[in-house]
Amino acid sequence: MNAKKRIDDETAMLSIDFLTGVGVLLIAFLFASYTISSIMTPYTGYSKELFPVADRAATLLVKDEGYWTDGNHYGKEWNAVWGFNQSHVKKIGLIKDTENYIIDSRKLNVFMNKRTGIDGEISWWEYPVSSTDPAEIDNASRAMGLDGHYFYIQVRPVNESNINVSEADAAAIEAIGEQSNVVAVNRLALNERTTFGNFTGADLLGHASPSKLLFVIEPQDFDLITNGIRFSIRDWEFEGTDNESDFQWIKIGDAINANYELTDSNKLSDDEYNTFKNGVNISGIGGFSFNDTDIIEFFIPRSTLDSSLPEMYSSGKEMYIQLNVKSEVNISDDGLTHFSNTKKTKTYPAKMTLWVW
Amino acid sequence: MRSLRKDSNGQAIPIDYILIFSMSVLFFGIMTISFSTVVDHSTQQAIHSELKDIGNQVSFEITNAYLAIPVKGQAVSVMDIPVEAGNNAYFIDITDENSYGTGEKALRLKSVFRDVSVYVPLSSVDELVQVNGSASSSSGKIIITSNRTGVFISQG
Repeated sequence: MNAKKRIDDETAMLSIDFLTGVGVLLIAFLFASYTISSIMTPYTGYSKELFPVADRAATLLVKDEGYWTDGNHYGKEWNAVWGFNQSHVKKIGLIKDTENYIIDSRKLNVFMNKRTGIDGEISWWEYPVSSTDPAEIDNASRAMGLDGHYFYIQVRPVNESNINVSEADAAAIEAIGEQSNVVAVNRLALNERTTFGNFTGADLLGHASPSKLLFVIEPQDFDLITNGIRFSIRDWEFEGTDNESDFQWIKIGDAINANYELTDSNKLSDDEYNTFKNGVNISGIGGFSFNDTDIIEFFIPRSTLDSSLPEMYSSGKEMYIQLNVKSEVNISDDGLTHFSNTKKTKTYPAKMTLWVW
Repeated sequence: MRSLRKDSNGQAIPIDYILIFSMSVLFFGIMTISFSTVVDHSTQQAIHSELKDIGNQVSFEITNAYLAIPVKGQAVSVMDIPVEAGNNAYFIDITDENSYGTGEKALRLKSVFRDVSVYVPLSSVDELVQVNGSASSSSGKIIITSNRTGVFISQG
């Protein structure tokens, strides 16, 4: 009844017509203005902001050495402190010095995942991988100047025939996933691959008589300790006509006496390190005999180092490793066998690619 | 009034005028407001985009200035910047605030007449050397000075 009355009511009929017209016009106008506006608005996409950030970060990675400080000490060898306190690393830079702008593989090794190439000599690196701690990734992003952006980085040799390219490509695809806004920046540089810890019998020093080999690692070389210390000795030299000796024990510490000896309290138990003779794992058996042609390799895991020398990284002291072998092993003189003396480098062109999203 | 409202003989001209006039005012009012809102939004986006581009350019120059810090003395470079961004002058300075929540310094570009501020990261250069200074866009130039103590921006 009421509805019929309203339909029949002719009062203000003109205004309702007008209202309908105005309403339709208003909707059309709003639609047109928003459409035109969205077409004409300058492009402000996320990827436009990403590229300059990635570009600057990549430039600094291959042109700066990096920097660390704990408030009292500071230096450019941030790779030596990354392992124990990442917040002390203020800037990650990959180069060795600002004279040659060569990427230092030691800096890559401390935080990136190293993948050995086909020939076993040339490697490629990636970071982060699926197992990387998210807190570490945040620290790396901050120290690279990426301000919290997600990233993935690869360093490959320019001559890709030395690596498994499909493996490297697959790793990048897996890491980046299906992100819609990703920028990639490339930089070319020379990469210096560094190896340590391959000793020969003629270079051994320590406590001369009886023979106790003594090795030293300086704090600036602590970055070579990633998951532990690995070193090998070959071409043993024996006194007189002997060509065989016995290994007995291994000690580790941060102080030696005047006779180039570590104290007995520094001795490791047989299950705290691994031993390989000519590539065969003979860990846990304690003493063993070897001859002058044997290659003896030792691996002291990080867990052993952390429990034996908990203040190792922060103390600023050198690390000593002593091996007891029977006196037939020829040690030319009392002294220290420096790990740094075994340093060998190989330089090759490399390409760094940084993806940011 | 009641008789006027009930009059269906088309003689209620004042009511008709009042209705048409008020609806016209409403219509043009909504049109003006919506148009200015849309235009204002576009202008702000344009300013934001332009300031971001300028900021990235300045940050890039700061990075280069750091990488080229001389062993002795100082290096000075003059950089041309647009006098206006989106028809508005702007200020450039280094601030501890940033929109990334990382607590690190950032380059801030602030529009003078519009409420638009843009933050551009310094790629952690501020962790390596001191980065400071401020300038306005009025002269169309800024000076970037670098020495062993830091990188500084000033009015050109």
